[in-house]
Amino acid sequence: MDLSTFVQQLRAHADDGPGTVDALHQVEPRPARMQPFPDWLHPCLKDALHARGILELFSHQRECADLLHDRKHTVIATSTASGKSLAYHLPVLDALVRDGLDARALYLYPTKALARDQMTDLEKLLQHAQAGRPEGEQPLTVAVYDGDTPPQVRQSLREHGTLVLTNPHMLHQGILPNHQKWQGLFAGLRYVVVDELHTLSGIYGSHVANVLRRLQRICRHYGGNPTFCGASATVSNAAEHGRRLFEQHVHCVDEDGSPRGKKHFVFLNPRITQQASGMRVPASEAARQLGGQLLDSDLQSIFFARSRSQTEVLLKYLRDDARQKHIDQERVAGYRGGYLPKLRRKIEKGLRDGVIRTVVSTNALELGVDIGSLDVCVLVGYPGTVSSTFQRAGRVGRRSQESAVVVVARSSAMDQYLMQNPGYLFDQPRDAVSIDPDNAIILTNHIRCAAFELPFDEDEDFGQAPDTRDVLEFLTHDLRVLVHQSGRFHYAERTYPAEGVSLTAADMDNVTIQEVESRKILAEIDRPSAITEVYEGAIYGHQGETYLVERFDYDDRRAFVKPIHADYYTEADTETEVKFLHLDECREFPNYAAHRGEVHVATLAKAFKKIKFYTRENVGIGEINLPPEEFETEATALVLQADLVQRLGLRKGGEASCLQGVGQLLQGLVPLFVRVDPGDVKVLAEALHPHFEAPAIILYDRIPDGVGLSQRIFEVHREILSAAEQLLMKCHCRSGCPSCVGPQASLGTRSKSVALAILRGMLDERELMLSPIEESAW
Amino acid sequence: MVAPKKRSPKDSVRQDGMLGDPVAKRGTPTEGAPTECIPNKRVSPEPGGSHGADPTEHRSRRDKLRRMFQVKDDLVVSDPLSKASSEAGRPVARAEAGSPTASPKGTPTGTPAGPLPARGDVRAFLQARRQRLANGMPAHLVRDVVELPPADVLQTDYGPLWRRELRYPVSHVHGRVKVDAGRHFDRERLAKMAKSPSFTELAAEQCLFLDTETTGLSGGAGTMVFAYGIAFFEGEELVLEQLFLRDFGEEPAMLQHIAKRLDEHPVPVTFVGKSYDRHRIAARLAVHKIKAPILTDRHLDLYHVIRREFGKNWPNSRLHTAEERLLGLYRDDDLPGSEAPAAFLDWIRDRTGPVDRVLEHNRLDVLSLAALLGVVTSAKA
Repeated sequence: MDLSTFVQQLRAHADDGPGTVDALHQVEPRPARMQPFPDWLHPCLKDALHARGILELFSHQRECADLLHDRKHTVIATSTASGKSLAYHLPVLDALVRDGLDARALYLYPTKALARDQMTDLEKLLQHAQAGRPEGEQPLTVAVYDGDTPPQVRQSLREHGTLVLTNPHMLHQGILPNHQKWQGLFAGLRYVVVDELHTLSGIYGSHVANVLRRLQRICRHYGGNPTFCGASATVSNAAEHGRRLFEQHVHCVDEDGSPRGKKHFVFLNPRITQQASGMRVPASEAARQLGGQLLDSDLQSIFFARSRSQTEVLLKYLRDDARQKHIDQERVAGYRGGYLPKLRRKIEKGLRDGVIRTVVSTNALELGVDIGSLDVCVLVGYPGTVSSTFQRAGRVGRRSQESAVVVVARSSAMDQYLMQNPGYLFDQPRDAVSIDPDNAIILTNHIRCAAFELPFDEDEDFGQAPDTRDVLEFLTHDLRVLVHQSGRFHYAERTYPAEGVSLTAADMDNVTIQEVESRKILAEIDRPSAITEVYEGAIYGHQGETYLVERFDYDDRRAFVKPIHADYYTEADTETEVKFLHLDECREFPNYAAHRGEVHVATLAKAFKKIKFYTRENVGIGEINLPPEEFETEATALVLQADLVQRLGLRKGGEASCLQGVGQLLQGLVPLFVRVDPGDVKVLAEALHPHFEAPAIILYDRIPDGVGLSQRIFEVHREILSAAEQLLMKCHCRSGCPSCVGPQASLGTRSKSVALAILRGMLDERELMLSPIEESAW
Repeated sequence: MVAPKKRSPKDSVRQDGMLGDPVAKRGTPTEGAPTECIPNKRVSPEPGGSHGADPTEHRSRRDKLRRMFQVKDDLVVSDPLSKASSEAGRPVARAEAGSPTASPKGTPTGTPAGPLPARGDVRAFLQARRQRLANGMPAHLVRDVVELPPADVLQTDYGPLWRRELRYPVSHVHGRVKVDAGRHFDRERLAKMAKSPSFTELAAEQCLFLDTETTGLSGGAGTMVFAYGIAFFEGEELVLEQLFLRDFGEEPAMLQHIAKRLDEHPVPVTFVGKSYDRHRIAARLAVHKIKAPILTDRHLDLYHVIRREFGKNWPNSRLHTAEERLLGLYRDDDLPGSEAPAAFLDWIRDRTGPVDRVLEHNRLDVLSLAALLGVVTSAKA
């Protein structure tokens, strides 16, 4: 079965297939644009490329390589698998072949796995490069420097490493604070490559931007002057993002010269099972049928599920299916972050070799792990963002072959909206990446780290941070960790400051999942997720097999499981509570009050349901007895006044549910005023908040202790409210869509008008709203 | 009415309409909002409200924040640096830059449009979070001023240098051992013990007995060496020099002096220096871009020699154990090495930490190095 037939069949079998094709969209093929190798490229590297069967470069590879060779800071933002790595490897290796230790390079990857992946590839290229070196010269070495690097290797790497692959965390805690050990690297550093640039967003990106400021400061100290290269997925502001991260003028290469085959986007809506309520077959069930069809074909496919457990459930279904059809079950694999590295490497290889024909994955395969090119991508539910959708879609149809992306809708309003308005995906600009390197808390933490590395001169600026001096004064006089003497600010404290500054909020604290009898370690899971995945009684899915969690030793971070043949899986219910510890500031407006303060956020897993495979029957419940995941942070609460509540007739369970829509709208708009990811701020809307005894929308920092985002939000919240009002007015939808308060299905047709009334009520400077709500108030 | 239910009086005190608030600067409602959310009380929406233009507000802001976040006043007074720079330096409050943003257009996923609203007073913002940023740093105690022992202040090409020179005749007895022992070690035996054949050629004059005092044990470039004790034989004397950092600006002169001594006496003799002291020195040399041969192969670390030789029979191989068992030196009233960092950090800020006792501790360490060198090569395990 070829691809067109597959798509045709989907359309033809509306009644007995997995669902109806509500819409089709075709992305037309695009020919490759090729360029010859640049003249400057060392012959040994040309040989290396020839040996790989590469005779020319894509135009964007050539453009990027030329810029870097000319020592221009560059950002390359082209599609998944368009050969971005080769574009920066070439100038880097060329410089290494010619100048050796005087032309060293530092590569930053977001994860250890990606760095190791790249190293294998680089080592091969480097073997050829070695041949081009004059005799008797130091051999070129490429090595990964991360937590797993053995101490003996570290030592030689510091002295002779010509190409060091690491991650921002190691740079922050290991390399920069010990820069004296890396003097050679910094003095001879010619290129710094930051891959997966788009992942450096929000608070994490703001941290990394400051780590890069520290890096540049150390390079200056030792006389190094590296050229920066960033490689990014397609985002709408790659150049701007690169400029903010590197604080340099950057050239942007975004004209993709790689070929693209025809790509079909199929919007598949599962059949309706109950006409009255509009209930549909679950997306996973539709995906299962689709998987069955694909198993019979020779098309290689990838399924993206929305969660760990969904991945395992779907994997089990597809393996069951394969068994019935007497197809080798090894042809179907799962893939997710919790699998141990060895297993993941094996699956990646199986996909590249074509041994594995179907893979079910979480978002773990969104990043640039090399799995070769597949034919069909099935999105089990809309991934939530346009960017993410295209990252996933990029997994199929590399080079010029034809491919298909099937979006399987859930019953959720968001997915159903997409089925009716598929254009939303294609007309919408790609998401922008936003960072705020000057966030006062983040900046202060890194200036403290930087002062440890080298004293600050009187007039020294830290990158382009406008507040360096204020922060230095604060650190000196208020925090007393610096001493201002002889015209410099010196670190004068016993601590190793980088240790106390974590770049990601996710602590490295993992729970290991162990088989109770064999003691074999099966997988890992981050602690915050553990309370909803490995509680006692949970069914833990792993590679399509089911395990029962017998015991979860929370303190020791170990879950013990034993294999069982369960005919059900489990799902935990969680509840998040935001409690105010104290209020720092309050502003009253005629119809609402804004409060700012510190809060305690607790997420509790209370109970779980046992759900039967296939039928999805609820076959039992159980209690979860685990401590809540909790942290303290800062929050801003917008609390509606009684008058407004009454006038709008907001009742719990009724119109008050529109508050959630308003909250999400505000959350989505935050990045316009405060440079963060929408995900850095969480929102909780409650029809009756127990503390305020009124409807409240609470926006809080997702990072424990907060980085002051909610204070910024507090300060600009009126602008956010009025932006929200304008957006609602201008939105072309009739009664709510994913771009504004969310689609109507959950809130009813009045959701948009009620939301607008709430916003107007809040913005109104008069005490009472005089006009009642009308159906079409705009 | 939506006033919060459980509010302690403290909550209202914590409010501050001046907290770098761009909205207030623009004169929109709520400027300098009253501290209580009293039912039905509304804030005047007129621009230029009650206390926006009060000039005293600015001056008292830092004091006010200090009170709010329990930064003790005596702490401020006892800190001459803080006083000097906040009076002579730039004003605490930063001028607001730019005007707040225009109303944005676009979608929730769009690019941030235009300039962001002014950030406000960063210092005040940080002060409000002082305790969290402090990360459990100990409270500061006020203590007596500590005088350094008498010493010379050398005027070097690299600036002033505090140096205390103590000359001991070789007959000086340390514990029960003459420091002269340091000149008469058994080279063959030492070379074997240290597993370093080149020490068969070692001359006593090449040795630089070296011990450092640092600001912490965590390593990294920012861990400072604030005091050096070095000693070498010259004629019939053991010359012991102590260098002390009175001001961070004097570090280059200190390092240059060490570099010169290392040049003259190229073999460091230390206790745990191979894995600790020399790396601290190397880091500080790197910070000041001074080249000196400190990470050399020829380095005699007595810790390793002693551990190999006596480790099996002794409870531990620490310097104090070696002093007691080999030199008959029992220290009383010795400042534990672990208290040295705090002593210096207090002293450098307000001259209160007991650095005199640190220097005394350091002096004994260095003398012990010289005496031990002679004794280890003859003592039986």
